[in-house]
This record gives sequence, structure tokens and C-alpha cells, in this order.
Amino acid sequence: MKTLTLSVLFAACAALSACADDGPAEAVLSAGDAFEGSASSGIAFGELTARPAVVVREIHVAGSVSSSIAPGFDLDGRVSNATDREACGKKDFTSPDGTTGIDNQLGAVWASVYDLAGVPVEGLIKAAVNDGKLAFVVEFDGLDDPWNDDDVTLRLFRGYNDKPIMGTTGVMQAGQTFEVRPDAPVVVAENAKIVDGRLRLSTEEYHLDLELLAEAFAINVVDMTFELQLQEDGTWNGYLGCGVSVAEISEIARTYAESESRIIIPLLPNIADLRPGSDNKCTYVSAVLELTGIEAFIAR
Amino acid sequence: MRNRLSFVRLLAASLPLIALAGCSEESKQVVPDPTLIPADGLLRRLTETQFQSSLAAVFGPEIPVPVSPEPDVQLGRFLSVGATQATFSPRGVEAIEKVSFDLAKKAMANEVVRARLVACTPAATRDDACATTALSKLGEQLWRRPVTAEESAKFVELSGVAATTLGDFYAGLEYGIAGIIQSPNFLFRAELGENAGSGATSPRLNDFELATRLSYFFWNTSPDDALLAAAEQGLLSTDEGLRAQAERLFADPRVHGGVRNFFNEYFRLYELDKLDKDPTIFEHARPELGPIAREETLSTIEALLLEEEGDYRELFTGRRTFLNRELASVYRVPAPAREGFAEYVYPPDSPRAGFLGQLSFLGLNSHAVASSATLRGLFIRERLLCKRINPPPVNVSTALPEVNAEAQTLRDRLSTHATEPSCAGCHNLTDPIGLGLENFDAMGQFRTIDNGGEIDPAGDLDGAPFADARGMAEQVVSHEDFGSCFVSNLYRYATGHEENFTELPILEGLTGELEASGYRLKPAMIGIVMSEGFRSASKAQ
Repeated sequence: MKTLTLSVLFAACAALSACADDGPAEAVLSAGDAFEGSASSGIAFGELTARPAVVVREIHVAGSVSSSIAPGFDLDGRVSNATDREACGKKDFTSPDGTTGIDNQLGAVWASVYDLAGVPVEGLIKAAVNDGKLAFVVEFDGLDDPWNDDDVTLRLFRGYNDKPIMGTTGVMQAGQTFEVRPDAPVVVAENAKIVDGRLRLSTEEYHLDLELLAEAFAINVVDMTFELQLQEDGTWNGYLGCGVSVAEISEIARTYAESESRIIIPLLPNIADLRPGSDNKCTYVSAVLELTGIEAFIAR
Repeated sequence: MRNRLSFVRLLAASLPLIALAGCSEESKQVVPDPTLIPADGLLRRLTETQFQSSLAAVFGPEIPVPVSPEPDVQLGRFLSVGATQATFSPRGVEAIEKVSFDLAKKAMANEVVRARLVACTPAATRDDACATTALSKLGEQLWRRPVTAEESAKFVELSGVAATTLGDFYAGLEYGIAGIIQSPNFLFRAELGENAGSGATSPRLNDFELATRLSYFFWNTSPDDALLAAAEQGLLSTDEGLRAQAERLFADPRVHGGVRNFFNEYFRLYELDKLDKDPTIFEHARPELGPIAREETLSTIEALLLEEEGDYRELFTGRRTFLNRELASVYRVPAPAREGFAEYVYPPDSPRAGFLGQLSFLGLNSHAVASSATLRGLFIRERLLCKRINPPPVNVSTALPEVNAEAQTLRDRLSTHATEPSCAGCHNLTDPIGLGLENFDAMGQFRTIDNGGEIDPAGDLDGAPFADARGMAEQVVSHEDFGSCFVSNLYRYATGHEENFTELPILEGLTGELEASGYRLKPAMIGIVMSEGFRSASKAQ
């Protein structure tokens, strides 16, 4: 059950979300010639219509590159060092491109966790993605140019596809049509922007109902930032950073992974670095996921 | 006189080949008021699918029937023409024997099928009267003509001996059934023309031969009871009777099978079973994709030409198609249905339209790793415009230059072929139109860049300019040879031979009718049936 608990931790970070109040966001769809025709015209899907979107087909935990360098985002708006009480004394990283204040404490311990359970964890996530149960989608409305567009509406939600088609590389092939999970919250970001094929979204809180290995979980993630970069081959790569609740993950571990919880529960407070409580103990752990997305369609 | 006639026939049969030498146009010279010299009478081996459909028509859906174990042969662009030159290998004969006994055994073991095939109740282990009733009827259905008493007696005797030996009437009957299936009378369609001198201007097929030709043309399977009855009554020898049956066959749902088979052969869609694309380059490359692509094309054809009786030209220019989820994923368009195929209409500004924008065409006429302007252009020239293009000389390297900074796109790399005299003669006929489709890669996926270079799809078709694939398709259907080529191919398929020069006036008339009808399939098919060429065959020499 350790595998399950860790998977919940990582998948929770993949709760893509956005808030319209966060101001203009950058958005990306895909390579310029990836979609044919008018993307916004809407095509019949039974009595429904379909819009272009991106679906995440690969998720990996982004570990630190070195003791000081790791991919991710500045989730709390602080450049913390070992004496910063707001970050519970957790020193931030610098990103490979030189950005300071990167929050990715899970990445710092990922190498050791990976030795123990990383392979099965990522296998579990991959299976969920390939089964269409973990289909994170960014839907685009009013897109004119996937490389540069100053006014596009984004909708972030979990998609649904009961029979995703696997490509020859063992991951979902591009261009598939997904539907909206009726029970999943949809976050709308209006007036978002695409700049040089780059999209960035942020939100403070998001609720995620997740199923892994037939178990259902309710997870709340905070301080989430989501960035995608369009590639010439039509795919897009990016990162998702967020804070995962120590209390929620600990509870899940106690319920579903009792034996492993003796390791997990003490670990989490020690790496927590976000949202300190009144007792000055941080209540959330920063984590970063590396994502690969492909073009898709959403049927509504 | 006999020798002179034979010489004329030989000349007539040879003319298409003479005219098609090199890359010149097929001869369109029309001999004023010629006397039709019918093609020689033929024995047409059932194609793989005809073998299957003919047996399935008799044994019903309860008994699965395989396709013929003897591979088809293509000639004159068609398997149906190749069937006139095909025979059976020793291995094929053995396989047919095995299939026939297997079918007979399953038929007799299935109570529903057995009751359908054997209407009588045997009075004893050996009951020749009952066997005669069953085998005569089965023979008529499978041989597409009445079975003579002498023919029937052989199989009745065989069944009787087997029944006595095995102690079971139905087990014995299996031998008779298997024998009828193995007979050349089933495996070959006789179109020998036995009505010479009946008042027609040329020797005509007899009514049962005509019924068979008609049935396989419209349905790709054997005649039904009504058609055989019409033949029995001599109705097919009259214009009214023949037209009435042609109208009836076209109105029957089985016409879908016939039209599907025609386009399956015409567009070489059967090759899609082995569509081979490099999976390290194309993530969508899967073994199922070829048959799926074929279904897209055939569904589009059925909807346009049969259900709506629409304009054949729209098959190349229309924005409507039929996709399932997998194919929609390849084309990067929304899937129109959760399950199965459903109609999808490309937006007006989509670069993709018609058959020339479908994977079945684009993928089949490409290499495993890259598109091919030459193969695509060759298909259009040969199959849609009926221009014969010779294969390259044996001593010429057909390899293209490697991609380099100066030659990134296929157009750049093909430039050698356009300037080298030994290549240019034919490549200038194929490559310019094939390059119009370069926005679609070997998997049929849209692209604007090839190896880092921007694709320029503009070109011209015999002087008519186009800007892109859609424009090129418009020029193809507007080409002066487009209509006549379609008629020629439909005629070849129906009659099983490459037309000789005395048939050209027939084709010219049929082309005029096609144009007058707005390129509708039904009048084209019925027009061919009513033509003298369809109804005639000279006695085999």
C-alpha cells in the first residue's frame, strides 16, 4: 500500500487548476499545423460539440538536479533559506534556468524514495493515465494562434476516455477525443494569453477526487502553478508545482498503508515547507511534476 | 476468313498495349461506325472475395466461409480482370478440397442450414431421389445455371456410395456437396457467349452467363433465385428484361457489396491489409489502421454514391467523410462518435478533402518512412486519368538524394528527376501532382514542414494550376480524361477485359451519359449493362 499512498501524493499535485482572478495567464495549444480547420468552430459529437485541448499523457516526479538546483516554481513568493521560518527552515532551490526561490522539497528526497518505491509508483500513475482515469486536460476556447494569442479561455478539468488508444511508444497517441468527467470541477481562466508558445496558470486551492487502484480519495492542493511550453513537434512539455497537505496524506497512509505509514508520516513534516500554521509548523509539502502533453479534443 | 478474323482480334486485343507504350496517352481514336469485335469468351476464376460471398449466399450466415485460398492476380488494374487469366495451383486445389469438405460437414451438422439445403426427408441411408433434389438445387445455386441430369447423377452416385459406406445419408451428402464446390463450374464463371447468330449484331452471352456477369458486377456474388428465374425465362435477352433486372439489383442492399468490391479493386484498397509504416516514426502506426482506413473510404463511397446517388466527383472534392475514434486521432480532428464510424464534415477551411485526403490513398501511396509524390502522382495518372506510366528503366537508380541544407523538402530532392532527361519524361507526369499532396505525410497527417523546410504544395495538372491538395483534387475531377477513365475502369471491371478499339465508341457513349447524368453511379452501371460490349463475347478460340 505504500505505492498507493505515494501515488496519491504525486497525483494530487497533478490537480490542474486555475483561477480567473489570477490575472492573464499564458496558454498554449500545440504546434501551428497540428489542428486542421477552425479550432473554435465546434464539431458535432452526437449532440455534443468538440473543442481543441491538451491532455497530459506522461507524469513523472521531478527530482532535484543537485543539492541546490531543481526544476519547479516559486510557489510561496519567497526565496527561503535555512533560517526562513515562513518556509520552516527549508532552503529553496534554483531552477536550471537560474530562477531562485524554487519550492520542490519532495524532489529533494525523491532519489531515495525512488530507490524504494519510485518505479512502482510511476508505473501506477502511468497505468492510471493510460487507462484514461487520470486524464488531465486543458481545453481551449477561442484560440487563434497556439504560439501567440492574447485572448483565449482555458478550462482545466479531468477528462474522460474509457478507451484511450496507445501509440507505438506505449503512451496515448495524439489527437484523441475526451469527454468531461461529470463529477470533476472545472476551473475557467478567461482572457488568458499565449506568449511564444508558453502557458502559465496559477491557483491557490483546488479540490481533487482521485481514484487509484479502485480506491477513492479527496485531496486538496494549494499554491499550484502550471506551466507548459509548446514544442516544434506538436507536443508540449512543462511542470506542475503545488503543495500537498501533510495531514491528508498522513491520513490516507494511516488508512490504506498502515505499515508504510510509520515511515511516511514522520517524513512529511520534516520536508513540509509551505503554509506554516499557528504553531509555526508547515502544513504542506512542495512537489513538482514533470509533464508531457499532446493535442486532443474535448467533446461537450 | 477464319485466319483474317483471328488476326483482327489479335490486333484489336493488342491495340491498347501498343497505344500505351511509353508515357503517351491511351489511344482515343474512334473508328467510325465500327463493328464490335467482342472480347474473347472468358472463364473467370472467382476472386478471393467472390469465392467467399458466393458460398455464403448459399450456406447462409450460420456457416463461416473463408476467402478463396488461391491468391488473386491483378491485371489491367483489376483483380477481376486478372481472374480471367488465373488458374489453380496444386496447393490451391488441395486447399479448395479441404475447404469444401469442411463447409459441407458444417452445413450438414447445422440443423438450420441442413433443413434449408435438404428440403426432403431421406427415406433410407441411401435415398437418391432426395439427394437429387438437394444436389440439383445446390448445384444450380453454386454453378449459377441449371444442372443437367447427367451432371447431377454423378454427385448423387458419389453421395449414395458414401452414405452406404458411412451408414448416414447426410454424411454421404457431404461428398456430393464438396464435389459441387470443387467443380470448375463453381470455381470459374463461364462467359463464353453461346448465343451467336440469335439476331444480335454480335455474339451474346447466354442468359445464365449474363445473369452471372450482372450479379457479380452489381453484388459481387452469385445470382439470386429471381435473377436465375429471369434467365430461365429468357428475359435477359431483351432490353426491357435486362434493364428491369439491373434496376432491381441496384435497388437491392447487396449492391453495397458489389460497389465496395469495385472500389476495393479500383483503388487497390485490399492492399491496406498490409499497410506498413515505421512505428518509430509514426506513433499511430498499428496493424488495424489499414483496414480502418479502407472502411473510411468505402463508407464514404456508399453514402455518396449509393445512399444519396450523388456526384462521383464529390468523392474527391467533398468535405464529408466517416471516421471512428482511431482515425480521427490520426487526422487530428474530433472523433464524431464514441463507438464505430460516424459522419464527419471537415470545416470549410480544412486542407483535407475527399479520397485524396484520406489515409487509404495517402498511406498506401507512400513509403514506410516517408511520403512519395511519385507514387501518389502515379496513382492519379494511371487510375484516375488512365495514362499509362512505364516503370523506370532497370539500370536507373531511383534513390533520392539525402536530405541536406539545400534539399530539405521532397520537392527539392525530386528536382533531379525533373531535369534528368531519362527520368523527366515520366516523372514530370507524376511528381508535380504528387507534390500537391506533400502537406500530408506517409501516415496522412497534415504538416507544413518537411525536414525543416517549408512545403510548397502548389503546382499544375497539365497546365491547370492549383495551390494545394484541395485545388489539385478540383483539377483532377475537371480533367478531360477523368470521366472517360472512370467509365473505362467500370467497364473493365464489369466485363473482365481491357477494352479493345472497337469498344471505344461504346465507352465514348457511356462517358457522355455519365456527364449528362451528373456523374451518377447508377446510370453508369446500368448503361454498361445495356451496352453491347457487356452482353457480348465471342466464342473462345
